[in-house]
Amino acid sequence: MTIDALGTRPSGIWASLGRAYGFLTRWPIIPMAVLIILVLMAVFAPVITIHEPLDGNLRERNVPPWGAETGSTNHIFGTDHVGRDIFSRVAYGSRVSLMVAAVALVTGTIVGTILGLIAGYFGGIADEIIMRIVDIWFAFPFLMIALLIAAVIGQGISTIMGLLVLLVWSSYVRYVRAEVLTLRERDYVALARVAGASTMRILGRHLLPGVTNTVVVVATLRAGQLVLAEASLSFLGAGIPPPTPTLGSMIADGRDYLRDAWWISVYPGITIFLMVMSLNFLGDWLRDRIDPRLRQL
Amino acid sequence: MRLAISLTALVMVFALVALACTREVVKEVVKEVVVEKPIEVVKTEIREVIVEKPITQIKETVIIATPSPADAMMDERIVPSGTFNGAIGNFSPVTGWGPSCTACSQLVGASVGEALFATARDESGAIGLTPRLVEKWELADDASYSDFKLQKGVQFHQDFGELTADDVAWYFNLINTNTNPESKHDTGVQIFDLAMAEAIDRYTVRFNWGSYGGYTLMMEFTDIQEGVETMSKKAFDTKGQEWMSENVPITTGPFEVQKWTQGEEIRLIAVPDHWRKTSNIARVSILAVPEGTTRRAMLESGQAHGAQIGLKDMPAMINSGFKLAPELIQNQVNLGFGGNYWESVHAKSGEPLERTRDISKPWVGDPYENGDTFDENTHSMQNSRKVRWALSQAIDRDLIAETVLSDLGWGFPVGHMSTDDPLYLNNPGRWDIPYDPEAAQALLEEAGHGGCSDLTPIVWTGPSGVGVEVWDAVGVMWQTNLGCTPEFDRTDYYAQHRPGIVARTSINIYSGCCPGMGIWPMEWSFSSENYPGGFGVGIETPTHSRIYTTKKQTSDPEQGFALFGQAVPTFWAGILLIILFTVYLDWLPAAGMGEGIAVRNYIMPSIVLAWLPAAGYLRFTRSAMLEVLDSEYVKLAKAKGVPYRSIVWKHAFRNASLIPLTATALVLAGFITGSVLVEAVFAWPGIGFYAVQAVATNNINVLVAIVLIFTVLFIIANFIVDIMYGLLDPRIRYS
Repeated sequence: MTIDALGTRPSGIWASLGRAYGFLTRWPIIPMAVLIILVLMAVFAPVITIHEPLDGNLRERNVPPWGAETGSTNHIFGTDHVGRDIFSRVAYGSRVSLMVAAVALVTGTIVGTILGLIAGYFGGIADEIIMRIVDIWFAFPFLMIALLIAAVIGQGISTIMGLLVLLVWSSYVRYVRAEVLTLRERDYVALARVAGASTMRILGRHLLPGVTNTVVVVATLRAGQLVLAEASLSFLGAGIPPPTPTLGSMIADGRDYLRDAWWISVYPGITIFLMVMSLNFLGDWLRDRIDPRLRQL
Repeated sequence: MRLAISLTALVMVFALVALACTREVVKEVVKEVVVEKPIEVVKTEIREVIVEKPITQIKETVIIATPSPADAMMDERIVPSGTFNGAIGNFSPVTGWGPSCTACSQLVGASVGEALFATARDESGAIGLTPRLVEKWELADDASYSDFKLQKGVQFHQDFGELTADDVAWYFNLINTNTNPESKHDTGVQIFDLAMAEAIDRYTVRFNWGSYGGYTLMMEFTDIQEGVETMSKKAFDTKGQEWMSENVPITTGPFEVQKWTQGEEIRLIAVPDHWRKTSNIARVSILAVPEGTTRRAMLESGQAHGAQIGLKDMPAMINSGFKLAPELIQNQVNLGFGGNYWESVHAKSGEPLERTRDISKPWVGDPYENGDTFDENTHSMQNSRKVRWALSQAIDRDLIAETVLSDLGWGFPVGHMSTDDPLYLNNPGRWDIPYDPEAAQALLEEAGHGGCSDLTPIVWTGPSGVGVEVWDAVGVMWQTNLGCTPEFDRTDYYAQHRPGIVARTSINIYSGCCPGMGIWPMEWSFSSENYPGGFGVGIETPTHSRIYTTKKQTSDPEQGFALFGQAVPTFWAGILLIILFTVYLDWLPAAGMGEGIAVRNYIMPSIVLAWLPAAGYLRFTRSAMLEVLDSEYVKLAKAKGVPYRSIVWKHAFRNASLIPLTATALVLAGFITGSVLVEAVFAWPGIGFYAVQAVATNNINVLVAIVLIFTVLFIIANFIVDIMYGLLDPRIRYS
């Protein structure tokens, strides 16, 4: 390795490790890689799996995963209690989980940001109403409300997306509002107003770009939470109705088999763990990178 | 309610009779079978409408196992300590006032109450009546009444004296909806045939029949499905209705109720010198433990002497020396097609009833396709029948029995009828539904749903239990054989069929059930005959509805409690901890709060509940400490030579603690969510578990109260946090 004139670069295994560590802390390589692998697995689920996630064979139930004594590469993660391939179900389940979380996140972000902008910019009654609703919403036990709503209007993908939007929107309002409260006093906003810009234009062209950083950071940090919430709701039986594979319901179904066929719930469990961990790491990194003031999130 | 549900077969008889009475007769009496019984002639009419195809019959989902070695077990039914500890998934509440007791059918199952008759099989396999509270009985020539001679010397619990004809007549009139329309007693609403009971002398009671059939005594007055107990009239005369409502039931069985709290515990004590059978166990304690893994761990660690065990756990349990309880409870998983062949007139009053007919599902036909007259052979009806047959034929029952049921069950052609039942043996072929995927595909093609286009079987399976697994297997077969992707609804019965919130319009496929453990969603309860307001049955009539259930053995419920499905979910970590600390290490008890302050019982739930919040605190505290340790005054303190420990704890931590304190609000919300799961896994009778039950049973009032309590707790916690701010940081002052 050629070195510039200012000095030699320390060599040796420890120095390399140190550099690797520094690199990894500066750039979230591992979480990124894990997340990309999981997303690719979800997107290309039909390509990478050799079994259909809903097709099973009762003669091949509870087959252990590849690497175990009687396991085979045909079912690398083994099969579940009705002989469905767990790898296929994990891949398709990640698809459902990620899709639900993404849709809910986008919707929640839009709703929360708009409300935050309105509350922060207009102040007064609008602010009071919106913020009191947010306060009240924070005081409700989400899980119970979610169970009740799921029981009343029925389970389904749209129900769970709606529930997750309900979970996520309120956190944006506070941050965006606080941001707007300072932004709107800035000179450039006042100038825009003097120049005759409409309210919509001020909100859209002058304030929204200012809060984008905050919104992106909050969104990344909430993404992991949404995946977990979807899993918990499916786990509680209020999520997406079976037999559609979701990670949460796979864990729930497999829990009774933990003693005899651990792979049924352990593989989806690991997948959720990796997904949420890498989303959280990514969120942390992004937060420190873009907006260190949000460190207490 | 369990009763409401599992008395279905009986109910179905009436539904059909009611249907037959209306002008739109569903159909064909196929045959009449007269079975000779030693005691009485039972005339059973069989009517067929091909609708319900049981998938499998499982001999057993409930076992009471004992932890003692297999051989010693039979001699040692007595638990040396005198207390029998059991664990079951869940049970319903009971009250001591019959007319408002909606789950009193459990009393007979738990040997707290006794039915008028018991049942037994004779050598030929036919089932007949045997005496219980009634010693002898006699039917009037015109079948207008029966005289029952009661046993002498039957004593009520708590010294309320001897059972007499007065008690029986008073109690049956009180709970019978024919004589007391206000009664909500679960089995009381199903003694259809009894017009009125009257006491003739001290030990003779006369039951005047409104109608009487061969099945009447068997179906309505034995414990063949769910029995009717008798409560003490003397208790009512001396103490009054209010006292009875607030106390445990005063009945006659070998066990007396000490405590019966839903979601918590049933505690029974044996009645000394019982007239029929004195128990050799002095006390019985049954915990409600929703999680199957926890129950198994309780058995294996010796914390419970008996428990309700999932079918999949049974082979392993039996291999390790546990035994099945001597009393078996049969369980069936049926495939039922909900339709809406509702009555058009009230069965008794003849008033027209207005119903809307929903034919949007391919398995429900329209008999009025060609006009106003009922025609069972319209194009639509034929097509719907083909769809039903196709779905039934695509199920390999024997394979399910062999694999999912570990060979402990068997494929079953007719619901509620055993394959060794004489009725079945008479003509076995006519009931069978052979497994034939090609024929099923062809039928589906004929019906216009080739390749399962425009057809999504929506199946209500209930929340848990073996039925869910059987349905998973059926789903796989439909997928593989027909290409049909089903949709399973695992909500609780009450969530699915909430009478108060939405119209009862379910026409989905449902998982039917059985005596002993039953959840059977029906549109309108039973027939309009017994129901004020004129609600009749709303389900397409199943084949088996004509045939009453048979038990495999003589009933002896002292050895088996009627148990039913568990409902609530769990927390993975909790289960893993139980497996580690209870099963493998045997250090900690698996479930319950224990007596007094039992520290060992608190360890695992505390760890599980604290796990997630602890991680959050760690994060908050870490970032706050880093920030504070970086500040000027800490540097100054370091420069002055203040000891490091003092810097960290006095200078830095106190200031940094404000931020984790703020997080307390969030943590509290986490506790609320977490407690729901933790209470379910460790069987703690807490408010979180109560809330989930309230959701499951659609108890909105309770739910509102719980949400309110949580919200208030949350606000109080925030208030305390605000005060703590001022204490920790004197600079903060509230004006």
